[in-house]
Amino acid sequence: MSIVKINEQQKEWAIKASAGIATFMFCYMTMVQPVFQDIAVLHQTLADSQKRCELYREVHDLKENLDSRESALATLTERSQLLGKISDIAARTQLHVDTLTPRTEPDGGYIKLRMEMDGNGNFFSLLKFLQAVEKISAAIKVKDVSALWKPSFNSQDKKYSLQIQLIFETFLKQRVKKSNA
Amino acid sequence: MKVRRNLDPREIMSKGVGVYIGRNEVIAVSAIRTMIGPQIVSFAIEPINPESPPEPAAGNEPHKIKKTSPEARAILKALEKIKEPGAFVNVAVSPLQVVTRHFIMPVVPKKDEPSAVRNEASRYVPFKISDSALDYHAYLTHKNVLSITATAIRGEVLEAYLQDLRSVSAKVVMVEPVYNAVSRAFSTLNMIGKTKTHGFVVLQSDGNVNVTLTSKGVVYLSRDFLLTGKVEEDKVRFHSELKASMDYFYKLTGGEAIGQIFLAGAGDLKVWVEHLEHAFNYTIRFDVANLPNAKNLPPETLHVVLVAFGLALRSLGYRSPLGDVQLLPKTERRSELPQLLKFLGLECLLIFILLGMVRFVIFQPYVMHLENRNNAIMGPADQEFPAYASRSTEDLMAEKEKMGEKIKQLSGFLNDKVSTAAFMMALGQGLPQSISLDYVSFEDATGKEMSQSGKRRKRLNIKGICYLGNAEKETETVSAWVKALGAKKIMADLFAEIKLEEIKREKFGKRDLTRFRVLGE
Repeated sequence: MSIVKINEQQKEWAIKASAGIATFMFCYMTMVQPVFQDIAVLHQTLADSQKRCELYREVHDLKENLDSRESALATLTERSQLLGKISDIAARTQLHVDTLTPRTEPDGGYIKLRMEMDGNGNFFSLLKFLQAVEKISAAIKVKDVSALWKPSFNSQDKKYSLQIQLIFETFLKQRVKKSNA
Repeated sequence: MKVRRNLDPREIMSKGVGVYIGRNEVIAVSAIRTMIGPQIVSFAIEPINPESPPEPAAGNEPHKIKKTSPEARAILKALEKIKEPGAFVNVAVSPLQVVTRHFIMPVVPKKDEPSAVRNEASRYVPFKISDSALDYHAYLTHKNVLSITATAIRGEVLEAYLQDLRSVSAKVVMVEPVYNAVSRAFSTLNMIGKTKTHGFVVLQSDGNVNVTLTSKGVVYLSRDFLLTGKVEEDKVRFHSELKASMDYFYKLTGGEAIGQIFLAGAGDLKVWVEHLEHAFNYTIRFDVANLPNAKNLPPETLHVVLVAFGLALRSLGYRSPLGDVQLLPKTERRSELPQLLKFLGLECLLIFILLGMVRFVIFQPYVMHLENRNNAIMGPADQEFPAYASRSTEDLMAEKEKMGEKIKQLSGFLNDKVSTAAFMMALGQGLPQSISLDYVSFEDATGKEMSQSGKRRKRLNIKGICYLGNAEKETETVSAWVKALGAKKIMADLFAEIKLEEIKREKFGKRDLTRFRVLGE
């Protein structure tokens, strides 16, 4: 069995190479390796920043969109004013209101206001009433409308020959948001 | 036999250790360079005793006893006595093991010179040159003629000495012939000059005498002879051998005579000096070494340790006037610790600088570029939307989702809105006078259910009568009206179909009239 003889120069080169490799590894681990982690973190931060930037714009656009849509909505505290306005319009358009029943229920981020109205009038008073109500707010929707003709030979009763049932719906904002602007 | 002097540490500039391995003894000397010249710090003369029991090698555990040679044991003891075990040492071996020959040869190209010298030396060296360690000095003496002094030692002999030294942890810096060390010692003591012709005679304790004759730094002759131990016989032999050597030298050099011979080694050198000066009729000067600052070192001892002292001087940077012959092959040479540490330090520094440059020249600008890009993105965004800057991404995402749901809810509600006034107006317009409507309802048919098209399903329910006095005309009128109603845009948008669901004749009082029901879905 032959024994490989290692001379002094080879031993020295082995020491030098070992020291070099050890130093390289140490320097690499302490000086270069952390940079790769930093770069990976920065790439992630960059991607996050771009997403965040897009998110800023999206939130901003949505906020503007929502504000413009909600501008048509009344608040919960304005519910009674809304009912008053509808009553006023009915009186002005010669629509006799028997009952006007409001009912509220939470619906998503809003409160849904449902108003059931029973009354009497004629076709034209109903038409004027509906036109006037639709002008109060774009957010008021006539969900159901029904008109039943009750024949009458009394001229006074002819003014109210239609028995009318209406259901209005609208959304109310829960509260007025404070604005920093 | 050991001398130790107390030295001021400030005087110490460096240290060298020389080991001479003779046939009978090992001589070790440690020397230092001081402001007043080189000084012997300590020395040891250790006899090579073949019968002494083997001892554990230095640095090894007791149970791992190596079989060391008598030479190795003597080397170990000598180094331990001078307190330099494991030191970097310069080594010389008995001149009997080394062959030095001078010859001339034609000038050859420099790159071919080593092989040409080896080939030529093989004619003079009495052993196989391919298995030997050889070093030479070449001098251009005449035009196209090289004067070569080649020194060789058998490879297996050198290997055996190296094994002895390394088995006791000695680190061999160089192996050189005895005349190199002796000439270096005398030169360091300022006893010789380069331009003269000199002789160096080293007497060994085993009776061997090595004679080296030089001229202008060139070794022309280096040979050995043995003394018998009988004084009168040896005196004659010494003179005759020396004279024969000088005569040969005279022939070799073309008429140069030796003017001065230096003696070193064992024995009473003063007696030999007196004898030889007398024998040569005082035509040649004979000198022995003198170290003025080593007052505690007897002259006889100095003569004995002079070879080892000359070897130690090599590490202190002193050069031999005969050139520094290197018998240790390059592959077996070991760098001294400071040199090795210097190399390692430089190596580490270079790697540090290289990786530092990689870090700071290549990667750092890229990191800064990424940071700047990030700042370029987020800076303006934070300024444009300061209210969002302090909020977390998760918070913003939740708000976005919440607002999205609200918008969807409002969109669904508002997009589904139908102008009921417009619807009623469309219903009233174009209504024939013969038709009277009893009941009209317009409602969401399925509450919150949505149609497939995404719109809420509307339902129209109309009941009425028609009177024209003619059933056929009444039916035609009603059908035409229903058809016209369904063709109106608002009706077409709201209902897929408006149809006459029911039509019948009915008696109202004394009149017959047509009653109908219209459905729109």
